[in-house]
Order: sequence, then structure tokens, then C-alpha cells
Amino acid sequence: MNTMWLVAAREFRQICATRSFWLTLLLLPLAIGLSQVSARLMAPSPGVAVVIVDETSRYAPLIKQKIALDRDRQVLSELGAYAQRWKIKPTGPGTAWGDGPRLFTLSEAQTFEAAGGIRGAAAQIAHLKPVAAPDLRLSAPNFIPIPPPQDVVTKGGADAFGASLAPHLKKDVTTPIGPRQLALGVYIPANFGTPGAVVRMWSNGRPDLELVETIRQELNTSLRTQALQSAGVDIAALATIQTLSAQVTLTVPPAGTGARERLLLHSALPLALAYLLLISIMTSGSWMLQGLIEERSNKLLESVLACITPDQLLYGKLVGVIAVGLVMISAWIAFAITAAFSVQGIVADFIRPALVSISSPWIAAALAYYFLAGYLALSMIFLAVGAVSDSMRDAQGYMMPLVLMLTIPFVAIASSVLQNPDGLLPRIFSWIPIYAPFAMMARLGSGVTPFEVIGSGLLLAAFIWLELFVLSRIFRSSLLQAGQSLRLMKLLRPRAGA
Amino acid sequence: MLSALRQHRAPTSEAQLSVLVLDGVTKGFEGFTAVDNLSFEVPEGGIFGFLGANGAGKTTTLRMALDILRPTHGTIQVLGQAPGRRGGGEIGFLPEERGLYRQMTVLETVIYFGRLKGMAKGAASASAETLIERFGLAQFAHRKVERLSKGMAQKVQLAAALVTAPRLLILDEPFAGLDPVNQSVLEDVVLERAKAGSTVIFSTHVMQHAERLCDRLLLIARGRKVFEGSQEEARGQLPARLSLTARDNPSGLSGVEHAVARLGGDGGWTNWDITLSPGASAGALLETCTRVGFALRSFETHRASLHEVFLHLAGGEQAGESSEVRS
Repeated sequence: MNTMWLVAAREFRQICATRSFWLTLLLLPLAIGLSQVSARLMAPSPGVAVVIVDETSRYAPLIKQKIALDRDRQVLSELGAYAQRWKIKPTGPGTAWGDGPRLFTLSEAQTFEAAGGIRGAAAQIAHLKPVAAPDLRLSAPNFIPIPPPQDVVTKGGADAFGASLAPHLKKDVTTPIGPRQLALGVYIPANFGTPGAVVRMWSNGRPDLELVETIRQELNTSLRTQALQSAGVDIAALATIQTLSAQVTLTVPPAGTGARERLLLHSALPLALAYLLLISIMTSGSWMLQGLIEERSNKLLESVLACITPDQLLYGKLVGVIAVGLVMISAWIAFAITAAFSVQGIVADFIRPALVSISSPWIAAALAYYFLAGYLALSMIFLAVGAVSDSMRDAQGYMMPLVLMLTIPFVAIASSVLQNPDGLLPRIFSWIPIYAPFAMMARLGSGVTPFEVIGSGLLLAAFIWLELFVLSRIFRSSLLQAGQSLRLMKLLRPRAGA
Repeated sequence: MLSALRQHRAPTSEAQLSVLVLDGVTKGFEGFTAVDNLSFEVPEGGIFGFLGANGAGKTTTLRMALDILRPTHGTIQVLGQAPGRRGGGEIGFLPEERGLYRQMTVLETVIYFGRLKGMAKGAASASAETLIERFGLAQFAHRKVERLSKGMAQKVQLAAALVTAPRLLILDEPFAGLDPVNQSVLEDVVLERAKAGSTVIFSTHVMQHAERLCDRLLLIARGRKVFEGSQEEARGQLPARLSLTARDNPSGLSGVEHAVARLGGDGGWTNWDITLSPGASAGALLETCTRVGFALRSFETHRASLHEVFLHLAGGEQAGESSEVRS
């Protein structure tokens, strides 16, 4: 046993001393970090600016007010999510957001604005929020009305306005919340409301239909109001009618509890572990294979085998490479957890419900079993390739089919588990030993029957035992036989030996 | 130095324990018999030469003794028990095909092999440092093997075989690939180990090394034993030869099997190459010449070399042994 640990320690040190080990170890965190940074740097700033020139001076204020109220409804929804997450219960007028995130009405937005709007809500939150809660961060407004840029002609008619505005539609303009793209210019002629009068709009090539529709609806409402007034409808009654609004509530399940969302969240962590298993076994398996081929090509195996048995060499190598894999995965998981919890907000809020999937000790134990058993089962395949290959070129012939054999079914497993964890394909793969670790790990978060866990686990254990048996024979038969072919039936015979 | 060391070598005797016993050992590979019903014993102490042409079965036999290969038939005993790694520290092995972990340093390599053979870390370290010093590698102790010359790497491998101060040292073609200086160093080491009481078994197909070092020899051909015994006994396998200068033809003398005249005689004297009959000796022939008044100007005996013995005993077998078996 002692010699096995010596071999394992040497194997571990040899792999850890390679540059490729450190590159691989740092590559995943680096890739995640870079993707985060680049996503932030390259993502367009949220919100667009809009310029409204109103020759009548009647409609622009109404449109701006509607945009502001829509913004308040968006803010109310975000405040609701924050209040629900941190269990904040505000009191007083304009605090409908304390009930949680939902669809808020215009009248609720008006009440909210009248009660102090965002500043009023922020004051309540500062007073009520728990110490651990992060500061409230609201998303940027979608539409920001701004005055026309100085060189834009506003008094020369629609064509002059459009022509002078066109250059600004291709670049950012100054807004109260920073530079934003000018997405839309609106020109309301002085005769708007008379037959034939047209409101003209100029976009930056990607017209925001929501903004266009908001403006159109507000103009329609104004025209209809004027028409009703002209028809003799009482203004007070009309105002009352205008405030009528169907009370609609849309209940959104808390994060992670919706059917589809729950499936995604609960499968995320096990799937991530399955993916880590695939990556780490590919890399560490390759290192182990290279090490074994180096030992064979350097002709040093005879010296080693004079000191220890082929089985001790085999077990030592397996333990060494598993230790390497576990170090890599531990480092990656530690990095992921650190990153997730050092960044408050969406990432942490996603990880938290995802952790629920492994909160059961049985599921955690099954995950650990499938991970380690999968590592062992797949490592032995790489070791067998190394034992029968005389050179890296020779090994490449085995490696390509092996990699395809592992990756293509893995992609199929991952995508089918996300569609339906109990689908036929994931269930079939759960009973094929070399794919069972991936399939079972991916499915464990969303519920698997004990029969499948135990049955598939036992089958995997039996497969590992068979692999050990065959690999031991391969080791004994092939390690000193460079250039000689192996016969499978001979390996499986009870007394097949060196 | 060699002769001085040889004088201190522990004498062997039949009563001593045999460190290696092969009894009817056969090892076959698919359709090919590498070792065929081989039986011999190596007594404890001294240097035992295991001779044979390439492909004669030497490496296969040594691998079986080390439990790297298992015999198809027959039994083997090493240090009184079946081959295995139980007493790994008592056996040192230098394989013919040499290689080391390229990323390990010299010191790490020797310690690692010591520990694989069961040594404690401290003892392995101390022994490794001593051997590295002995082989003149002290300044390279912390250098990676991949940066060593071939000769230095071979010394490191020898140090790895010696780190446990083994009771039985098995060297498979140890002189192969060594320059004359390193061959001399290795000969010194072999003799030192023998002087220290170890039994050294080395295989070779270069007879000069065996001639200089070995007390006893085993000669195999095509996996079969063709001779086992001392160097003198080996030479006794060849008919004695001598040359003399005489006036008359010596063919009729008692003990002469064959006489061939050579060129170069003068004044009625002729040079002759004589092959003696089996069992006849040069001394008896000289005595006969004196007794019968056979005129002689010169009388010179020829001691057969191991190379000649080898060719005589294994020559007929060698034709089919041009390719060496690696199994």
C-alpha cells in the first residue's frame, strides 16, 4: 500500500509540475472572468433617448408624463422584487410595491409618484432593510426624453427637423443619466388634430416598437378626448372615465419556483458538475496517458516493475490522477463560490436556489459517488490507452474516437436533461456505465427514483470492477511489450498473465 | 585494482545458500520458447556471469527471477523464496533497457527507487547521497535527469539499483552503451559489491567482461543451458592447443591428435600447431618429448579464451539467434 502512495505522489507531483496543469487550472476562472468583463464592456448601455418637437405644445408633456409613469411601474416592480427578497414591509401611501413584484397599474404609479416616488421608497428601504441586504439598484429607464440638440432645426417644418436630426441618430447624445443613443425623433405639426395632419418620426434604424406604440397611444387618447369634448361630453365625466383601468394582477412565482425555471435551476449545479467531470477527466486523463507513454518510451518501466507489482503501479497512477482531478475541481468550485458570493445580486440569487438541488444528504452523497466513480471509470480507459500505445502518435489513434465517444453523448445528455430529465434518452444513458455518471448527475437535481440511483450505481460499480480486472491484465501483459498486439480474449482468460 | 579486489572476494563453496535457483523453467510466448527447461543455481557470494548471444533468453530469465514475468513451467527461488517484491530491498536490478523519470532530479530519483524498495525516507536519502558522491555526481544532485549526459544518467540508474545495498545485485547487460572509462567504473563497483558480500549476477554477450570478473559462468543458447561452471572448467571444454618448433613431425607422439606445419621454419626446424587428444595435457606431451628424445626448439601452450569457448559451445546455435527477444 505504501508503494502505491509513493507512485500516486510521484504521479501527482509530475502532473502538477507541468505548465499545462496550471494553464488548465487557471483557464476556467480566467475564461469566466474575461467573459464577465467583456460582457460588461461590450453590453450596450440600457435605455435610449427620444426627442419630441411639438408645434402645438399640447402633446409632448402628455407623452413625457406617460413615459414617466411607465417608468414608475417598472420601478414599482423592481422595488417589489427587492422587498420580497429582503422581507421589507413598507407602510403609508404609495407603497404597493411592498406586496412583491407584480403588474402595477397607472393609477398605482401615480400614487407612488405623488408619495415621493423613488426617493420616498429609497428612504423607507434605507430604514427597513436588513444589514446584509445590498443597496437597492434600479435598472436604468428605458426611454429618456431630452430636449433637441442645439443644432437641430425645430421651427422650419418636419423636413428641416428630420434632416437636422439625422446626424444625431447615428451617435450618442447627452442625457441626465449619461450618454445614450438617440433612438427616435418625433415631430408633431402645429395642425395636428386636423384631417391630413401627420405626426412624423425618425428612428436610428432600429425603431423601438414599445416607444413608438407608447407615443401613438398617447396621441390617440388625446385626439379621442378632444373629439369627445367636441361632441359635448362632460369634461369631468371624461376625466373620470379616463382614469378607469381594469385591475389586473399577474402573480409571478418567487425566483426558482416556476416550473421551467425550477427545472433549470435544479439541473444547473448537477449539470455543471457533470461538465466539470468531463473537462477534468479529459485533461487529467491525457496527462496520465502521456506519463505512461513516457515511462514506456523511456524504457524505465522495467526498473519500476522490479520494485513494485503492475497492480501497485496501476492503482498508484489512478490515485494520483484522481487527486489531480479533485484538486482542479476543488479549485474551480472554490473560485465559483467566491465569485458568486462576492458579487451580490443576480448571480448569488441564482446560486442560492440552485444549491437547493443538493441540499438533501442523499442527493449530495449520490452526486459525490457518481462523480468519483465516473472519474475512476473514465481514468481507467485513458490508462488502458496509455498501456497499449507505444507513442503519443499511436495514442492519438485511440484518443479521437474516445473523445468523440464521450463528448457527443454528453451534449445529447445535457440538452435532453434540460428538456425533460425523465425523458427516454437520459434514462437510457443512466444505465450505460460510462455515461451513467453524466446522466445521473445531470438528473439528480430534478428527482430520480431510488431504484435508478441504486441500480445504476451498482452497475457502475460492477463496470469499474471489470475495468480494474481487465486493466490489470493489460498492464501485466503490455507494459513491457512494445510493438506487440494484445488479444482481448487472452486478457479475459482467468490465467492470462505476463 | 581489479586484481587486488579479486583477492578479497569471498570464496564460494557448495555448502553455501543458493541465492537463485531455477528448476526446469520454461517461458513461452505465442509460438516461441524463450527459455527452455532451464535449471541452474547461483551460490551466494561472488560474481556469476550469465552469458549468451542476443536473444538467447538471458533477459527473459532475469525478468522471471524478478517476478516481472512468470514462467510457463518450472519453479524459481530467489533468496530462498518464490520471486516477488517482499524483500525488494535485498535485490538490486539494473535493466538492459535503461530509462529514468526525466523531470526528477538525480537525488530524487535515487531516493524514489530506494523508497519503492521499502527504505525509510531518511535512510534512502543518506544512501542516495553516498552513492551520488561515490559516482562523482554530487554537483549534479539537484539537476533534472533530462539535463544529464547519457553516461551520467547510467550512473544514476546504477545508483538506484544499489541504493538499498542489496544482497543480490542483478545486472542485465550492464556494460552496454558505456564508454571505456565508465565500463571501468562499473567493473570497480561490481567488484566492490562482491567484496562487501553481495552476490552479483550479470548477463552479457561480451566475453571479456565475464573473463575479468566472473567466478562462475552459465552459458545459454536458444533458451537452453549449454554450460555451467568455473572459467577453468569452461576452458576445459575446448581441446588443449599448443605450438612447438621441432625437426621431426610430432603427429606420432602420444596425446597428439592433430599436427599442422606452419610456414617460417629455418635450418631444418619446422613450426607446428598441435591439437591434443581429449584428456591429454601439454605437460604429458612435453614429458614424452623429453623421454623419447624428440628434439624441440620451442614449446608454447595456448590458454583458450572465453570467446573461443563461447564460439565452441554456442556457435552452432547462434545462427538462429540474430534477433533479440524483448518480452
